[in-house]
Amino acid sequence: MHTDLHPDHRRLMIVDDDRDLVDALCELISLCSDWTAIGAYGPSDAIAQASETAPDAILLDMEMEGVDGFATARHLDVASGQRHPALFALTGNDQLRDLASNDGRFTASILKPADLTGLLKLLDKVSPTH
Amino acid sequence: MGLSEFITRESGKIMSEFESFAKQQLPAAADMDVAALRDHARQVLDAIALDMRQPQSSFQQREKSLGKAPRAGSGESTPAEIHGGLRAAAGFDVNQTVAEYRALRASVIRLWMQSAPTLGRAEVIELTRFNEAMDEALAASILHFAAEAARMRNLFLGVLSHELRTPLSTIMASGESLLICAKAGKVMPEAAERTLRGARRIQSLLDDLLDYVRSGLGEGMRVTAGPDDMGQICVRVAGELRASHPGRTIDVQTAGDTSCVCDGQRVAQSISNLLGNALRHGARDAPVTVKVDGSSEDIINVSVHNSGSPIPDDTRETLFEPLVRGAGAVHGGYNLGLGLYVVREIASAHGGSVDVQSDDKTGTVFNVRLPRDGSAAAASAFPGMRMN
Repeated sequence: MHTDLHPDHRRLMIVDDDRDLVDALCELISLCSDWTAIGAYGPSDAIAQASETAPDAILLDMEMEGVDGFATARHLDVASGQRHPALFALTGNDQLRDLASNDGRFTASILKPADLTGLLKLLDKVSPTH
Repeated sequence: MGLSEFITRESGKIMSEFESFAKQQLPAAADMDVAALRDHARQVLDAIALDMRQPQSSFQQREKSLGKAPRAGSGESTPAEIHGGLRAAAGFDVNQTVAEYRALRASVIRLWMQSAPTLGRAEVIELTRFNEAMDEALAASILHFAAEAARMRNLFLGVLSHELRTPLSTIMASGESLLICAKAGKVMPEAAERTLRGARRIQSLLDDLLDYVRSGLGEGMRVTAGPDDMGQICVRVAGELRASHPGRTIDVQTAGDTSCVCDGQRVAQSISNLLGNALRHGARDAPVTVKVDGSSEDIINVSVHNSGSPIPDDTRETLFEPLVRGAGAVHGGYNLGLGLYVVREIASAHGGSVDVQSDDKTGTVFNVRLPRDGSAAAASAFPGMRMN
């Protein structure tokens, strides 16, 4: 899902290998915030889009088909160059949530299902990277 | 010849005796190759023979009989401990793990008696020491079996939680969107469709989970066979999945006489699992194809094909095994594998089978073969799978 990029809007990239979840979250974020939501359906899609669209924040599923979320986070950080977007870990596994919240790379770690109010509060705190 | 010396010298013979005994007695061992069965049993036996040769005071003997013997070296695992952990990972239940020690003990004593040893005081002491060492190894093995089983249960619950929470997230996010749009008088059919797909996904996970847990309780998979038509079953299931996956193409092709005797509901569940997998993991721009082949007299063959990246070689072997049986589980353990496990159990409950072919060129095909007359359906039950 590639929404038109609005120059004044900050960009949130949502990464999950479950397409329905990516589409649902993108739609919801677009409906109830002034963030521009960009969907990515897997790690390689996300890395390609990170360098293209320069997101301000990334919501990253930690358990995409056989790929370690921590490694993906590293690749995404590199792909984003000097911008260092705010990284939010998203996971259905509470142990993984705890691991990610102790990992300095992530701004916050969210257990699925993401609570809308909490997510919007977290996004409010993201400082523009440019 | 003393017993410990006998064990060391005749370990080859003891191992083959143990293997044939174990293969007869243990359903889970019947599927294991010789190397897998042999692996740690020999090391357990070597450690026992070594232990028997160590001098032992009567105090030490009393402590050991009370299970208070000091642990050998704190860091490294003993062969018995490794054995227990591996057996849990391989899907043995606790009875089967204990039975292996029974087989080992029986094999040693039978072969030793056949060698007609002079039975004096020294031999009785040695036999006692052998039994003590055996009991100690058994206790260590079971302790590690339990620890490994608990670890796997945790892993299983973690992956289950992940697999349920993802569709739940979709449902909640789509629900919020639907609410916002309803207030603005807008309609959002996509959000409604996503909600239904997510709910169906959760339902099918829970159905599979229930079957899996029942199988672990030894109730077996109950199938009630009756006259049915495999072609019609597949057409019906494909229709359900088309409705929940708009924009995707599912083709059903039938050939020959597709009438058969089977448990229509169970077979539909397994076709639905296969189709769901194909839609989730297959290329989105290519059709998923179901072929029902009734041209053979005795067998009905159903294949489900999807294009897209193939299943990696190393996961193909354990594809039909649930996670507890030890699929490589790192952070991205991903699939619980209950869906395919249930597919296999439904096939074998009908006296049939399922296999998979997957490569770059053709994509992935699952083949289910069921006997047309359903005669095997009543007699079958789950094989020895336990979730201890």
